[in-house]
Amino acid sequence: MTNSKMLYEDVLNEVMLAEDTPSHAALVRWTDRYPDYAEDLAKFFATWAMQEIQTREPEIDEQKIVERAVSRGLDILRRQGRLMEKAPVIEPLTPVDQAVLYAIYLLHGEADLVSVTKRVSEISEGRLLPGTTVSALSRLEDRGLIQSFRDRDDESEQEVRKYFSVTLSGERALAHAKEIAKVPGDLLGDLA
Amino acid sequence: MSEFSDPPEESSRERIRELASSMGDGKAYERWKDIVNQIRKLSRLPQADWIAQAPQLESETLVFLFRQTHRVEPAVAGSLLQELSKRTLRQARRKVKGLKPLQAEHVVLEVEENILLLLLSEEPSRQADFLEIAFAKSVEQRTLNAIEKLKTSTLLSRRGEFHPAYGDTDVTKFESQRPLLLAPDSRPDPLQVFLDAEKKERVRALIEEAKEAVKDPRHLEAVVLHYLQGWPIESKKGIPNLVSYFKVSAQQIRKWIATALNQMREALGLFEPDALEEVAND
Repeated sequence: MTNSKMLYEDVLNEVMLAEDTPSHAALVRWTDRYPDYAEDLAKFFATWAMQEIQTREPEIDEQKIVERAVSRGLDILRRQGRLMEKAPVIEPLTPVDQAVLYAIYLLHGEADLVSVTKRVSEISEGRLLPGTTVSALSRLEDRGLIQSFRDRDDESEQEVRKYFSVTLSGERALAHAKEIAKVPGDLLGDLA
Repeated sequence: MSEFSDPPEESSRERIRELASSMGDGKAYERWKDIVNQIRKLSRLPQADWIAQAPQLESETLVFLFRQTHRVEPAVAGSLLQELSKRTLRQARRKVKGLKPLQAEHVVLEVEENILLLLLSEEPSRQADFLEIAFAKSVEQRTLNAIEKLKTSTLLSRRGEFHPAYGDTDVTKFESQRPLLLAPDSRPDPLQVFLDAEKKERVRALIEEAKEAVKDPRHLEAVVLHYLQGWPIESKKGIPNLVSYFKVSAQQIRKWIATALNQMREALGLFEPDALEEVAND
């Protein structure tokens, strides 16, 4: 029975997922399932069968095609407003924000609220309150220096935690902070 | 509730967005477990790692990262796009064999454009979701579709690139051929063809070797569909067959097949009963 919501392209996707070869037996199965597309399916299977016997690979200018696709993709993203036109201007960070940002950088994939607070306390040799970390995380995220991702905890697999990671802008901000020595050099380690 | 996955919210990159699309039989689209694990790992890492690791990531992971990214820097978007574009091209290349360079490039460009538009589409769709469960299959399907469109395009038909002039069959020529070749079995037994894999492979190899000798692409197509894929020349209503596909008579199809077999035999220098003839006996 034809599922009326299934577009022809959707059907073809399913065909490709289910079939390894364009055999007549497979064609019969899919024609039976989607009789409305019988003629189109026959043409598709025939084209597929003919391509299976081809061996000569044509010369294609790969670089040109990839460059064109990337350029066009970026243009569309720009029109959609999803692309940052320029890297955000690096504005000075407060010492706490810098320390939080650096802690996230160091934690590399394991930066949730608890671990960030702990790491900042370690590297600053002082006690940071979770509320202070929350405020700093919020500011850093608003400025596009970090991004967050909600995920299950690795151990419990139940609890959902928010993990933070440094964006490219965040890495630039850290490098800038080190350059102007707003934080002690050893705090920022060997960051570029 | 939407039938497809909702586009991600601007403000959050939170949790792995469930795919809401489903197959025709109602089974929900589902990502492979290794993809889910990779997405979980990558989503927690800095964007610089996305760029560095892009060549090693699964395509479906790249699609996920790309589709859910908002307000992104060109360096990140460009890197993901470049990797996906290269993979699209690599996958499409495997399916455009036998085409002339310009045709192949035309097809690949069309496929790249299709994939790009799906990736960037802000409208939820089953096809966009499919990229997250089987990227390579989607590219293959789109490539074959583009080739099919090319085959039937007016421009190329006029040029005779794919469909040389019809009605060029010299019937009298066939009358001198062995009756065996004039009367291929109209209903090959698909089961037997499939079971005899070794023989099929031998025939495939012979067809691949001699296919250039067949002057009319339709004749070659009839041979391939009939002998390699098991299409019957005629069949009961509703079963795909060569007569309904080519929209010519069964007699015409038999002539086409006989012509193609003879041209291939000649090219291969086969004068004794050979594999092609054996197949004709099936």
